[in-house]
Amino acid sequence: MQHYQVIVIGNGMVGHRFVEHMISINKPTDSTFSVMVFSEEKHLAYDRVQLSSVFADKSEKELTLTSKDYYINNQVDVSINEKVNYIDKQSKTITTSIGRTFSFDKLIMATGSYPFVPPIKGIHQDHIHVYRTFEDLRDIKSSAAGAKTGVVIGGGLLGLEAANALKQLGLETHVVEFAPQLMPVQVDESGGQILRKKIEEIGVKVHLEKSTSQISAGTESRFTLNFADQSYLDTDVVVFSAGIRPQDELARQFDLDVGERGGIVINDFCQTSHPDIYAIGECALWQDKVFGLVAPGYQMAKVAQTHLVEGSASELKFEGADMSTKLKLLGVDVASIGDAHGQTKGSLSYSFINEVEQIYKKIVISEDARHLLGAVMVGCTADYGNWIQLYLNKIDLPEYPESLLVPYAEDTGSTSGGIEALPESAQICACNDVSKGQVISCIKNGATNLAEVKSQSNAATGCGGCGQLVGQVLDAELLKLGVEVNDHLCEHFEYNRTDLFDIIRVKQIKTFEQLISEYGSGHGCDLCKPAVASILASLWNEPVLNRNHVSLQDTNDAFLANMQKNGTYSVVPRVPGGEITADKLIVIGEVAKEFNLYCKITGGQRIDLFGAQLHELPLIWKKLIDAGFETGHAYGKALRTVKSCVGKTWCRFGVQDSTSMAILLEERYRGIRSPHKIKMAVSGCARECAEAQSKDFGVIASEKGWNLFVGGNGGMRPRHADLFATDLSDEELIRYIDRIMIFYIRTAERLQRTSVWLESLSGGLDYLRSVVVEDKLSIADDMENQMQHLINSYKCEWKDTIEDPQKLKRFKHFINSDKPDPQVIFVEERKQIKPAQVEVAEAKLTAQA
Amino acid sequence: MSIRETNGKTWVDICELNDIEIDTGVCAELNGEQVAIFRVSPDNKLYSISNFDPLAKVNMLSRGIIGETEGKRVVFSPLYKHPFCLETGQCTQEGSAKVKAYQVRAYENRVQLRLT
Repeated sequence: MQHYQVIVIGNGMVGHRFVEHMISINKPTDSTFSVMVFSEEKHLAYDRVQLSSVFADKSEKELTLTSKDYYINNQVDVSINEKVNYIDKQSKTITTSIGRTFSFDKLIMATGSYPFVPPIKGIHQDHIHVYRTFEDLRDIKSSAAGAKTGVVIGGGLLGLEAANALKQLGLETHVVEFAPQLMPVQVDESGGQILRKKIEEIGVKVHLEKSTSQISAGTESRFTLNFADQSYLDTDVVVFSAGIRPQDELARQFDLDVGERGGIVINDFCQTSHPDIYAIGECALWQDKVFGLVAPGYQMAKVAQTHLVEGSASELKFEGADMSTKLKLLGVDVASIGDAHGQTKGSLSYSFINEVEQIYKKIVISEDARHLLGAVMVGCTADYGNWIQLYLNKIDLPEYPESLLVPYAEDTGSTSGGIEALPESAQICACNDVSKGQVISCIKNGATNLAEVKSQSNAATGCGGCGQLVGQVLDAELLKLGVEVNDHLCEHFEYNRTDLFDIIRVKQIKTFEQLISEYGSGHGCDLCKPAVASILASLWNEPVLNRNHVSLQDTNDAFLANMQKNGTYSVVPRVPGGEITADKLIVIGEVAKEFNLYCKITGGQRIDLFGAQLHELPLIWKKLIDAGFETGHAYGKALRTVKSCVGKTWCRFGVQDSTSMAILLEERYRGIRSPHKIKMAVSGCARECAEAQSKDFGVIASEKGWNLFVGGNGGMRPRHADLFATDLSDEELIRYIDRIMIFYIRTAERLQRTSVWLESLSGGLDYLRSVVVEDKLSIADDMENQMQHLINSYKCEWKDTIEDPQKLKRFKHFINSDKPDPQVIFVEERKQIKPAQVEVAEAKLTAQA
Repeated sequence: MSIRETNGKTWVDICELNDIEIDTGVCAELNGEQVAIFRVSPDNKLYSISNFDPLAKVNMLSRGIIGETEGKRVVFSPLYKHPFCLETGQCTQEGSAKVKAYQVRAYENRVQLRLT
């Protein structure tokens, strides 16, 4: 086993993605890796693409992509505010701005880019900014205080983003561009004209063909911008957004190959001129090109990580990236595909201008009129998804290519750009590189809804932009397979679980009979009956064996125990937080001995007793309840256990009392019926001994309180839980779990675990936060009331049952005899019972007869 | 208690009708055989088939959920959810699996199985 020290310089979006890939190495390798990260910024990675939303609806925190805890929890050593100043290629060490030296086996340069500021006289003054980091935005904000006018120099993509920011700050906003049009890289002249009109309509003034020669002190404003053509513009704030340059300073200083116009030269595996040093993202130069978008950076992160881990066996190469893009700038939809300017030799173009709604579209097609080479869209980008597929997959165009441009010719869409026309090799999800063929194979393997496709293929789990496309592939394939596409619960209800939940809640329905007579048809089945039983329990919380509900319960709920393969049951008393006294352990032992039950310690820190027959269940429970136990709901779609470590009470590393918190949570949420089982865990420190990140709700102690994780899963499809909130007090933690759990109960599909629910929740984790933390839907009080009702109406179902002679009648094998089932036969293994093989059982029975 | 009728049929008394909750089943012992009896809404009709699930090889069909699939009244076996027709004992999913059906009746609020 070889050990590699990996050092990552830079913690932008791409650097962070690389670290995430390192964390999630899922193939066994012959090597182990330690990862260190250095960032000169004060912040860990954040979503720079959405920077301007800090001026609109988002906080800096919301754009943050990771946390120190996440890195620590995953054994990544991260240092912020610490720049790498020195690289020694020979001894393979780096030295940082505070003089620390570390050696590396592999070095990753993810240093990103810096804003280009033209050499103009007078630029080094206060209130003249660039637009790149949180700090830049804060500075712009403080300059805007008391200012009237703001100017952005640069009318490209980022410039318009910056203009949006100035406008949000309430400044009279100007955009100054050197070229004769806006966004000269992405759109053509006609598109630029429409874009300009639309932007000026919302009050941003555009100045084209202006070259700034000097910034001097203004008379009424802070500055006067003097242009080369002798005109001028007064302003209080200036933001430069005239392009970016690769941050390759370290590479230059320490003799790695760089391009003529900058950028660290890399090969197809993202290696620089030194094979143990990689460069990824905007600092890298591949085939003389720098890629200023995040998607190619992400590809490089994956390529570099794969090569680093697999070495020369790695086949994954960076093969360039398509720079097509679709975005909304200052409220205007703009998109650009491929050769937007029609520079390909012999190419032809069609264009469409709608002056009423100010929409411009252009397609560039090949000389033989067969393929789409490029396109421009301004004002409406509805066709983007369709066209990008035509372009990327070189799909044959319809006989009259201009039909693509006319929005109402819908029927042509199905023959030319329809999902059917896509080859299986077509990439559907660019973020995670998922092809149409991969999506189809998921469906052939049994996925029948979007959530399953997403979880199995990872498609549409990045930016989510391809969700619709994935949905189309799904519908088309299901149709081909003869599956009727609907989300009805079963043949008896033309509703899904969420619909039924709302109906039952709003109409205050208390029984299955009432529901099926008013909203369903027929007599129900093994799908709808347990689903409705669960909803009724989640809302009204009547004991599940009550006369009205008993016939709806699934196998295990029906007898409050888990049926095993030979028809006998296992029994699990609740052991909150896994804490148990010696006396109680003795009682479990005595009961197991008396009834000759097989004992096994579960993964949820409790004890499972197997081999109980129907008539024994009440006898067993009488003894357990008398000794102070209660039911553990191992049989229910409900909270199972809250696993915990011993926490700071015993552990020398613990920072919070995890066991007490686990007991509190387990006793709070016990018995609450939900769409599927719920597991929780509480760890007393970041070492995470309780494995909380694999649970539906994971709680990990921090120095200041608790970090809450949601949507984790072990089992068949392991998933690390997502960090929902940090440093919570006990009260906040409980409030958030209350709300998330009720929201899950209300909105998940039947038998959908929180992991899949969270992935299929439109808007994902951010949306969940907006509902739970900000109470966007104004339902928080209502959800808390529902939770309080469930907590108040909790009863131990087994206590309720052994006190009710009518309910006990069912716990006999024969209604007309006290005999047990003579065909249940056990044999011995390792001094305990186990079910006999069918043949052995038959032989024994014959011998007895 | 057994009742021999004039037409030669013998009915064996099993339990009170109210011993069986509506839309659930019980298991009765009849001449050494295990027999599942179901009381089914909306008209409280009684059905009876063998209690043995030949696919799971366990005596527990009486503990399954009663329901309906493709217009037939069925019990879904508790372990692997195979549906068995309550009228005929035929598994509607695995054609090869079929269990014996019994005659059952409610007589003066008593549940009775016909001895065969």
